[in-house]
Amino acid sequence: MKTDAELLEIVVRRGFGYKRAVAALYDKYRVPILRFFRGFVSKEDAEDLLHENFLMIISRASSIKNPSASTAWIWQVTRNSLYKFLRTQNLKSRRIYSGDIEEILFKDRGEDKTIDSGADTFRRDGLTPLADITGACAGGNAASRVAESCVSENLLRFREVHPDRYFVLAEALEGSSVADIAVKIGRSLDATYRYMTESRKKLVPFIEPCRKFLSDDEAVA
Amino acid sequence: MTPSTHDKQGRSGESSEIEDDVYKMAQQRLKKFAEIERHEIVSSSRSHRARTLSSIESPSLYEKLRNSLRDWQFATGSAVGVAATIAAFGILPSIPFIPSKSVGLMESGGYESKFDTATTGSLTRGGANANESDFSADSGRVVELLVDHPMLAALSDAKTLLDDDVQISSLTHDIERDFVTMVVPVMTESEVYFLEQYNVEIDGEWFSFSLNKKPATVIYKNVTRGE
Repeated sequence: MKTDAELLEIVVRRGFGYKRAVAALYDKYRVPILRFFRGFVSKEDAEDLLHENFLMIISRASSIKNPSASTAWIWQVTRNSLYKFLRTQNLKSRRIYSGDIEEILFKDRGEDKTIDSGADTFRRDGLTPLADITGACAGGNAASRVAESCVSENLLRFREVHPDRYFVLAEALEGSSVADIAVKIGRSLDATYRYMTESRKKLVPFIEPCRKFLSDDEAVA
Repeated sequence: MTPSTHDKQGRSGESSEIEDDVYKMAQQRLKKFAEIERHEIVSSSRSHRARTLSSIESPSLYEKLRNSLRDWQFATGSAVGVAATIAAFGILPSIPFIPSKSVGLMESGGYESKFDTATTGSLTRGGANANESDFSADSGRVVELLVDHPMLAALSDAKTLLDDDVQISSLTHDIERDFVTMVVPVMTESEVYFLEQYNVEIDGEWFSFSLNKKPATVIYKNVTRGE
């Protein structure tokens, strides 16, 4: 299997195997990039963004200065596509922190810098309805199911407020290494590690209200 | 599932105060969300793949020619076949290419030349460098090459033909006849082209090239501009 650098070289040369290289890149990155986008925009916008982003990757492949960092370059282009899209969506009007979106996402913003948790701040229509998810985990006692519903609902709220943190936590839980996550969010290894640690801490307040439902002594009507 | 966040020092990034049931439940839920979303993405939007890939501009025949020739020039050796070249006599310096057999005759409006590339490894006309004075000027003449090959052979200094200095008026591929026709307006008869046989791979397909089955014989006709 060819590396990203090898595939992009074929793309740049537009010679033998061009179509195969383009298809290979798309097949490799479609799912991870689409998941990345869907954390911040609607399902439909994510698909369009994926399309535009991929065209950008192909058309600008010749600008890569360091082929050994091709994967990191692809994710940089991807992040830039997202930033551009978010800016053009006029997020400031939705009371997003009034700073450059690049300085907000995947950065420790500090306690006084939060993203407004307006329900439509980051549209994520692509997520399966909550009921379907909680229904899939039927089992256990009533209190456990209520606790799961509570946790699920608050996870979605966490995603609305901190879509970037949600993304890195989900990546980690699916087995991505810190190094892989670092490439995707454009941070150093140490910075990513710290960011992930902070992200877990940020999650705690969201799920704290659900703790009471885990008590066997609690009876839920 | 514990996140794979252990660094070289073995740190996991987890603090003890969040290693509790509700946090573990949150981890499980989050992982479940991600799996469902991944499955949804994988199983959906096949049309988006087709849309995106089709919108990626495929190399034109023009670009395929240029790139295939450039790749062939640098990548192949004598096993692939004889070298083919297009040269503008009197315009280009000697063009180094892979030595091969003698190229045979070329006809051009009455001019006949024989090119021996085996010894020198460069293209010359009659053993000597061609000069523009070898040909009489005849501005406005259009040279049309008819080649019974799906891909036109243009090697060596491919930019000679493909550069802005030499405009290609049209490049068409007659699929039925399997002809590639390239129309190149030339200002003088000093721009002469000949082609030899060679093989080239384009996107996994091998194309063999020959001019009327006779290597190094140019089949072309002079078409007066406007005809």
